[in-house]
Amino acid sequence: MGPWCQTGWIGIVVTAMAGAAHAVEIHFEESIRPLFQAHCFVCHGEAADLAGKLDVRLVRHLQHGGDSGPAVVPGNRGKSPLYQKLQAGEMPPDGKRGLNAAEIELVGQWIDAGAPTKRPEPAQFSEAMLIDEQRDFWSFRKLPPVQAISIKPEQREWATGPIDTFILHGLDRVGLQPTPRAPSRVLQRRVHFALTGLPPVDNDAVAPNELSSAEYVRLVDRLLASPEFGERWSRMWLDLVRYVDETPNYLSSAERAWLYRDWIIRAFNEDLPYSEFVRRQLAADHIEGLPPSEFAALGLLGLSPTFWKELQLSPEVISNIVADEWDERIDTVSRTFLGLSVACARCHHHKFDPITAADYYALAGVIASSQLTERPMMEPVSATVVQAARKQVIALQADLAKFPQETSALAAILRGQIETVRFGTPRYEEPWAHVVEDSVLDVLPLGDDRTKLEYHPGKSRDLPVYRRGNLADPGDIVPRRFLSVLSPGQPRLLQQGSGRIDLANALVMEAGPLTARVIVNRIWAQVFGQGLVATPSDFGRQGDRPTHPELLDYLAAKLVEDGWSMKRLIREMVLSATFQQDSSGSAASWEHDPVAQFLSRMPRRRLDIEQWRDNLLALTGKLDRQLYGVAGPLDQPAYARRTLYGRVVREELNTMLRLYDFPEASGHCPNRAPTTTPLQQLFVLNSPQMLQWAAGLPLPTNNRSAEECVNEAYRRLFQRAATKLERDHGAAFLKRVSGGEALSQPAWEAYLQVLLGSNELMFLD
Amino acid sequence: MMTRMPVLDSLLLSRRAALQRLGGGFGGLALAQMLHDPASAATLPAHHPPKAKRVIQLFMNGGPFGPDFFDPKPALAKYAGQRPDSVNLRTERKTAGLLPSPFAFAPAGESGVPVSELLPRFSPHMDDVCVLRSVHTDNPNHGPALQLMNAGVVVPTRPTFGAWSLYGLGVENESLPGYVVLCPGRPVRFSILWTSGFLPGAYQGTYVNHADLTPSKLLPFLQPARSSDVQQQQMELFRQLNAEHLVERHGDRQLEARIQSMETAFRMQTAAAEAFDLSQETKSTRESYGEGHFANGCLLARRLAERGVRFTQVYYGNGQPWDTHNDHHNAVRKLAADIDRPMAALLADLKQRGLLEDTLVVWGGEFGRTPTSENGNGRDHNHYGFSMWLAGGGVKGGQTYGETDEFGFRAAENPVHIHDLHATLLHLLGLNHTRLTYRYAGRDFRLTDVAGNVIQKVIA
Repeated sequence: MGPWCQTGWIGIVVTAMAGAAHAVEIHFEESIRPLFQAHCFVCHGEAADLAGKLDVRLVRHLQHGGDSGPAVVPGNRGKSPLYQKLQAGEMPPDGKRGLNAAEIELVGQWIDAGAPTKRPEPAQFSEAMLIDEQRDFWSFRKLPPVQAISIKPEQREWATGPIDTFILHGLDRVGLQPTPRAPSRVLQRRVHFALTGLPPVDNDAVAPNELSSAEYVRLVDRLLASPEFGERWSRMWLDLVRYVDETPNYLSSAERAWLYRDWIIRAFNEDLPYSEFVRRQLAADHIEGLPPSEFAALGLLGLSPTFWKELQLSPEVISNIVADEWDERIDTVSRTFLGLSVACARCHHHKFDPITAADYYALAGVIASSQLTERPMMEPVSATVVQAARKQVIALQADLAKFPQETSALAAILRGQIETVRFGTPRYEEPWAHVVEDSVLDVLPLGDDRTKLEYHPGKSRDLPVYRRGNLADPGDIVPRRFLSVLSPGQPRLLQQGSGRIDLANALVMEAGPLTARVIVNRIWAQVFGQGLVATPSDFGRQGDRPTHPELLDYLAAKLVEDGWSMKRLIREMVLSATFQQDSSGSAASWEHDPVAQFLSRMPRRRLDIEQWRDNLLALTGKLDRQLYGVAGPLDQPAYARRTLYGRVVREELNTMLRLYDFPEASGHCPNRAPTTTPLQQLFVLNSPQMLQWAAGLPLPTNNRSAEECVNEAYRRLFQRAATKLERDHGAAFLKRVSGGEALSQPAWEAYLQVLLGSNELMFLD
Repeated sequence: MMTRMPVLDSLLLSRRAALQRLGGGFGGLALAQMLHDPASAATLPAHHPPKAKRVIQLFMNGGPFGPDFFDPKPALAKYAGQRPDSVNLRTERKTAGLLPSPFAFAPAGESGVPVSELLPRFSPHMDDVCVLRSVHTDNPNHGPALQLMNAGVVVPTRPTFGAWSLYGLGVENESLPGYVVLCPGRPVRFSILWTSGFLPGAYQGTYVNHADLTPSKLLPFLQPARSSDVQQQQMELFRQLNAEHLVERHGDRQLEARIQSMETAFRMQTAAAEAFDLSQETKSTRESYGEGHFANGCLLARRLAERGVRFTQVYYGNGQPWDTHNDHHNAVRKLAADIDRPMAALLADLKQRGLLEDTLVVWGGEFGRTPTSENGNGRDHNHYGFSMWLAGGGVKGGQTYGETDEFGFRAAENPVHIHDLHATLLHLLGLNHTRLTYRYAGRDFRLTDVAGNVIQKVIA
């Protein structure tokens, strides 16, 4: 997000709040002041010269009023000029977008109720007071202790665990029933995709009988332990951290990004606790006792987008570009881990959330003290040798470049020297990870109007608050520290080196409840198709409220209690009766729960591009299951590794990925929005990839009949028998296109292409 | 208030009813046949007789400055460098004093609507053009303002204008996407600008990067991979199998949408290749539009309008080329030179083909720019008052509507909010914006939310 943050969301949020207002008392602090903060504070609060001498930040000021007398008369909206002006559309002035009708009504109700505050107001308004009040926001609250949730007798027939009791409670409130368990074939396919992103094939397929509960648990545990688990779940994470394999060539390289991707896969497979997952990605270089291979985790920041710095331009311009890079990194870190858009406070206090510009620059200091670099993943002793050799080679290569004629004798000598160093240094060729290190960057003038960059490894610095985001207008220096609103007392200082390790610790300790809620919601969305909070990277005031707040809190608390084990959390989710429901649903379910947000049925979903492509490769027996390593070319039809390993290029996304909703890798992507377009279907009809995959299954030999061939295709691709209709249509197709009873290879491939492109293989019941 | 049934729903509900009557096996076939029936998914009746059947929007992404083109402000020169008190000039970013527009104005056409020297070829068409001088929007930032111009709100789940128009009117040509977004590159916000939001996915815009004009490159995978005969057979099989799959699944909307889009894709192979093929235009037509991405975009838009595409947007360029924070005058000279000839050619071409009378052409950015200077010679964003124009499709040309203040900063007289603009455009398409609603999450939504007034004076 640029220096501007978008406004205009509060409408929906408060509409929902207004609906609830009949039941609960409306307080100024919770319901009314946020509206004024978004629309009125600028003139009637924060301005040095208060408009109309009216300050709307405290009720006492509202009652006292300004130039035109009291603004609010408690108990009587009719006599309250504030309400009248809102109602008449006179405030905000000049047709500026202000409160909507529901919000104005809420203000009216609050005045009629006597304009209550939740607690006595202080004499003076302060930012700190605002932050204190908003500590009680739902997503910031402490987690409740995990209590044993007992399943009520009447729920036992359906429910299998605590998740189900929360879901049933929600369904009760809207008068809906859950849907019974899905047929085994459906459930097996669903749980395979949920846990591994792959379909059941041959060996794992498919119990003809109903899967017993015990068998289902064993299946789940087997899939959780499979290496494909990490491959599937790593992709969730890579979307958030805008993972790329390649950047435009004028920017810093991402050549060995796969080291980071592979680290993520391993972390999921080894069930690295989420708290540790967070800490290592931010600060593996500051954690004692880790093997050097763990430096790869630093790719989270090490693969950040960089912007071109044209050193012909002035230091002012370049400094702004550097500040834009901080902004993107803060945005990615804060939205990924906290579900908060801290970057909105770069230019002004956050308009909706209790995040100040000082908060922003306190974190920006950490980012500004961490520079992108590369690092061999070995013990310091070896690393020092290899790093020195690398420097030597770079210098020699620079010398070599001075010889235009490659044939000269001197050039030959230089080439020889390079080879000597490369081959003479043990472990020279091992790949270096993209990491960050503690270091600051000085953007300095060079001559009159050009710029030079100076890096100072080992240094760190605090930044001033740049007023309105303007680097030419620095205010007071803020020490690197954590966000005030998430800190119970004085915010933790982030001062060990760059402060990344302190930041990481604060994320999982002070901010632990929020951090846990955010990751639980992301995992829930992967398992159930949609989050309990529909805005997975906005847990602030502009974001949606959870559909099942108690459930979210329960799972978050459980996660922490289980030592932040993501596998256990996922296991609990897929073992729930909620997950095992059929997706058919009753008529009532479709009518009253159209998008299945209450989970009165399991939502049917389109496979994402990774799952769909892998599905087709797996079903045709062509999937290359090799784990890890360098990314490959998705646009080559013969490329048969999992889609996860397809090369992602920043600013130039592969066409297939782009058509199927894959995110741009230039910024944090909270969730993908599935779309259905004719262009996707053109891929199915005409892409070389589809043709290649359709040629994957051999035509059954020995003069088998068309019907037998159809049966074989259904057994392989759908793991079920063809219906009579499907057999008839299929056989007719094969004969027509073959031009007779003798089936042709082209007809067989054309037939398989249709099956591979069918809705049945694209959607998950 | 009438809630309109979604096209797909009304179609498929009747089909579903038919299926139930016919029973399983035949049902699949019946559905497949009905889905293929081109008459079934065609246009829907409008609320009132439409004046326009389709819209072409020329989107100057980044935001042009009205007083450079259609809104002469001599007071800018008088108070150059000053910040007079008579108007509240506070904007989001700090700007300095007033920066006059150096471009001379002259009355154009019989109507004498003033146009600046930046548009010499376009100005003879002013008798067909209605300038809106007083448009305003809610947000001075590109992303949100782009969303506002397209969807009326900043909420990402809301449908865009093109999606609403397809929902309201259906598609004229089943073999092409009804809603096409042309951009040589990409605007700073991407698919959110042509989303169908909570409306069915079939109504979303189809993004086309026309930087390279090879038809098969404009739309990837457009070239048929198998013979026409085999592909026909494949399509028949798709219909049969997907219909059978659907019958068991309550006509799930996402499944229906994919069936529908498969049909569109099949027809697109021939229809789109032809529609996007500029080489079929005569030399003189190509020359009249001139060269460059925007010229090509305008000509493509005419070809698409001719073929019944309901809504075509042409973004001027990659990123936000009109975002002139620095060196505004020089930048705008070049930008204006790029749009002058293509816009003139587009109106002339549409008129000559008899298409202008029912094709509504809309021009403008997501907002305007400040009359005050930024960085010495640039202009900042200004959402308080800016110029757009409408032509064709039932618009009363040769007039201006609304006024900004004496500096061209703020809409002063007859302000036109985005909601008013949308209400008016829908009205011209035969749709009443208060009746074009869709029930979602427990309430009826509309493009104009709870606002919007049709500007009667711009209608012929």
